Amino acid sequence: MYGMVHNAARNMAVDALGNDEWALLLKTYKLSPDQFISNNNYSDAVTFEIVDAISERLGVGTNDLLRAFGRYWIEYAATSPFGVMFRVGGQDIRSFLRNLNRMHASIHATMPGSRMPSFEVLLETNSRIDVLYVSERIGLEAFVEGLFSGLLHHFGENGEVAHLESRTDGDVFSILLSGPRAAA
Amino acid sequence: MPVTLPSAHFERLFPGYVRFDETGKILSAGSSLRRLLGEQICGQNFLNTFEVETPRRVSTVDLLTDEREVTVKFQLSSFEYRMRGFVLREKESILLLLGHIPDTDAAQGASFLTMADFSPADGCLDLLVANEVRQGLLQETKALVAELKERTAEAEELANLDQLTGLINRRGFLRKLDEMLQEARLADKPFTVGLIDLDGFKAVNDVFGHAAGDQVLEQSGARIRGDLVKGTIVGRMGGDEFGLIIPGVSSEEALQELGSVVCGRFAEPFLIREGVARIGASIGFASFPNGAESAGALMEYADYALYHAKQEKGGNSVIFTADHQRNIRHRLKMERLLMEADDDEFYLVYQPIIRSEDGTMIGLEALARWTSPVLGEIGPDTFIRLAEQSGHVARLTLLLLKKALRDALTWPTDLSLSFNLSAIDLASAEAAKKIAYVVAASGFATERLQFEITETAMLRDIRRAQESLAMFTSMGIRIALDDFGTGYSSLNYLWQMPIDRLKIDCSFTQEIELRKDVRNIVQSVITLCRDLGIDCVVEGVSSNRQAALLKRMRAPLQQGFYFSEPMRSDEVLAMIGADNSGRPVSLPLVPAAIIKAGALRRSA
Repeated sequence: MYGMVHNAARNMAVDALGNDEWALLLKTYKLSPDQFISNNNYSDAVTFEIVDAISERLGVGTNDLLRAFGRYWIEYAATSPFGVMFRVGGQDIRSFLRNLNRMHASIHATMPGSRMPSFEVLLETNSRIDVLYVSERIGLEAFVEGLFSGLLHHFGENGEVAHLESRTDGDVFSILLSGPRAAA
Repeated sequence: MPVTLPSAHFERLFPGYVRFDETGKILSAGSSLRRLLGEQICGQNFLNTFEVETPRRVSTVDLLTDEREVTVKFQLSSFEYRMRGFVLREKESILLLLGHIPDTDAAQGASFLTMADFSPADGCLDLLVANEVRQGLLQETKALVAELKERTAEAEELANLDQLTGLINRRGFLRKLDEMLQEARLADKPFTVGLIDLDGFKAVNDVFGHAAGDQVLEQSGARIRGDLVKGTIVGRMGGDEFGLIIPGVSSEEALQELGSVVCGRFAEPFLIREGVARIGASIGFASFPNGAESAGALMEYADYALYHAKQEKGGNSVIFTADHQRNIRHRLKMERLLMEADDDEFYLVYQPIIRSEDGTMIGLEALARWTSPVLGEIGPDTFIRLAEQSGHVARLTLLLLKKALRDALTWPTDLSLSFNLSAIDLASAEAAKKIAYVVAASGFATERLQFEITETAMLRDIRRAQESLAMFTSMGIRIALDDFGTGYSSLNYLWQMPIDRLKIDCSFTQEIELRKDVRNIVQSVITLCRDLGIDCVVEGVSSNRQAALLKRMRAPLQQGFYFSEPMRSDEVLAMIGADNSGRPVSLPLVPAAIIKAGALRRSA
């Protein structure tokens, strides 16, 4: 993954632990500052090494951490220098999800080393959006759950996210919208 | 083949289209244009809303010819926004299929745009996203650079700071000195560098431990820093040495006064957790521009003055003067002459080593001499130290060793040769190997050869010295510990090193008749050597009474002017020849009393 993801993970850990503890974590888990350069493409092993280190240090299970990180990533990316892409992506969660593949394709043009997942809206009603998530990576379902949860929050929606099923062609997630905007 | 698209598909594919009639009245526009310019765009005149940039001079819509590329611009907030497209003339209307242009304005405009403003086939979106990503990366890089600068500044400050005293360290001090020198040169203003060394600090460390030493250093820094000439920079140079840069002061009187003030601050004892410590301070001053004109020279001269302050009595200050300058020049001249000296300028003299019991000479110690054609006779202490400091001692050792071995080959086989090695000769395996090679190549019996080394030589690098000495002893060469009693006199050496002989320093011999305590020390060392089964030579014997006393004290071997002054090789041979013949030796260097007493005899 690109270093900007690692940076987000670092920020999340620093928010939770503070700078000194983070420096200690780097030392303890033999992580290098070189692994946090935004425009560098790192192997997934490095990414998981970082996630595992933070997970162990915070005493949080990997899936819980990934879920939290997914939520964190949305806010981080939206407020980061790359945040304008969020605005271009859409004004609401529905258009954003529809445009997500196109946005990823555009990002890929700049970061050709990236291996973007795809998101296909399977069902869309007033109160529910089902999305098929397809990725060559495995084990990131909790992260995707967190991402959808983060999007709900980002677009001011209330609701819940559920991982409905794992299929041969991908994983289906259901975003259940609640509150006044769901009926609109 | 004409393709008819449902209007929804047309809108998705061309969100920036605009259609107007022959009069220019806008009939419809794509969602993107409507969002950017408002729904009221429909009904307005095309040329009032858009300016056709290319082709030029389009003043009426008639001039927009079919199937022609077109660039239009319009005002969007505070900037001009451009779109580019294609003209399609229809039966009763003109259709412009416009798309966004990924220029700087468009990038700015990206804050207005969404995915819906772009046709799925429009690569312009990728360029806009790329632009944003790059802007983001650039912003992040700038933040990193700013952080790096901040950290560098912090690191720089730390790198120049002495953690113990809070003063700047040597690195920081030298930087400040460079800065001061530049300013002083430009403004033609004098300043002075002072180097301070604490007197008796080592004893504090030895007695109370390093923690106590640290407290004393910390307090010393505070005492030095307090109330100096305005703008004075104080630094810790390392160990127990501090530095001063005093702006605007260079007169002898002012510096003497300052020296007294700073030295006086050490009169009061230091209260530390472990007790009370008393130390002093010595200072060396060198001024710009009178003393020196470069940072290196200022430091060197201040250090030179400090050395003299410590040599005098300590606890005072010395200002670098023209006399010091002359001494340094002389030393440099001597160093140059030493470096350029011919081999013939160096020679050896030999001083006999005498067996106390019967006055028999059992060997001779080779002593180096240098006669410079320019400077004349230079004392061995001076030129050997200089050779050691300037890196020429290895050459001298090999040269003189060859000469000594050559001379000794002409002696009777029961006479041994003692040859002095420098610390540097033992400090590297390579130097020791060269010495061993010279010995082996000489053909001289190694059991007749003895290398004399000092404690200082071993202290330099004990492990390396042990290795070198082990190599020599494996060849059959014996080792003597010279000047015993003047250094640390650690008894460790007697079992850690392959010592065959111990030479008691002449400073003891000078006092042996006058002081009982000295006599007791010498007696103890003689007894110790006997118990350890090693030889013992008492050096510096200069009178008959000393010789007799040492004989009574059962000192096995003696050496000194009383028996013989050092002799040249031919004088040695003459003496040996005379002795061999049984006639009295008539060397002028041998005191008549000894010759009469028959003390100087070669062993049988």
